[in-house]
Amino acid sequence: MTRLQERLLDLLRGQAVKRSVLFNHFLKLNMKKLQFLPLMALVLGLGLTLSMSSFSSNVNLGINWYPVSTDGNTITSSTPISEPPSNGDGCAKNNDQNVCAVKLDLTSTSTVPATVSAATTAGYFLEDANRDL
Amino acid sequence: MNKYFSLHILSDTCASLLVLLWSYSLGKKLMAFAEFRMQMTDQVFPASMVPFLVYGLLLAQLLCAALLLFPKYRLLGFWSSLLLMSLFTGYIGLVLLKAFTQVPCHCISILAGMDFKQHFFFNLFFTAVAGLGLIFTLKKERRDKGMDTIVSHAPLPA
Repeated sequence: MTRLQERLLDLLRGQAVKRSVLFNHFLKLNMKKLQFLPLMALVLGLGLTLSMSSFSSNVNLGINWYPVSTDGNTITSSTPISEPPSNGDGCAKNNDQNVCAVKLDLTSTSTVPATVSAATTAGYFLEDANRDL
Repeated sequence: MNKYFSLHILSDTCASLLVLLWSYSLGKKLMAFAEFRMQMTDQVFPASMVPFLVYGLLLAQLLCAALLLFPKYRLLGFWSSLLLMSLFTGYIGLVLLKAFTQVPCHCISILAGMDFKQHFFFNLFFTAVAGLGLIFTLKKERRDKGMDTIVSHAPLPA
């Protein structure tokens, strides 16, 4: 290794050390200033997410309407929607276009199928609503 | 109660409410990332924009929560929260006004079973929280700099 390369390496190492010292100083300075109330809110928010997801995975889902994407087959959310399907005024039982929501009977399962065809195959499908475009 | 102390508490409370909102929303999206991505594709945005929107939203929410946690950057956190909440509220407002040809899926809502109208008022509340937090923090900072205490430090007349 040439002297120039060694010097360059030293310089880079020095910069890296300087950067890490500055970063540590920044962390120490700001961690001390973290306040109790917002920090509790952060913990509560993350805790709520975890508990909601574990709760929803342990309960059977009952009979509900689920939104379907514009391709007419993909179920976009495992969160039920209110009846009649209210993902917009253009979604109703007596329309002619592709499927916008499906009513599924998920009393025997805790997972929402990913597609309408999968729900039909598994025997969860009850009825559907269509778009009016 | 001391006015400065009240401002401090009010600013803290607003920041905490927003941190709760951002952390819950972020956690929910990350826990069901595939579902969130799918929900975004069923909105009114062009398909090419969806990946940028998905990661952009996550990053923006993370940044807002992080900025609000540190008093030094809280003002910036309130500004960014206000901007983000205004964008969300504006989007839902446009949907309610039927400004888009396609009716987007309301499955994107933060709480299960909430429709667009309820979500609009929910968002308005948090936009107000961000606005109030910004005002309280600005007042507190003015007080910290002594700009509001000139009169109280003036010598009493003989």
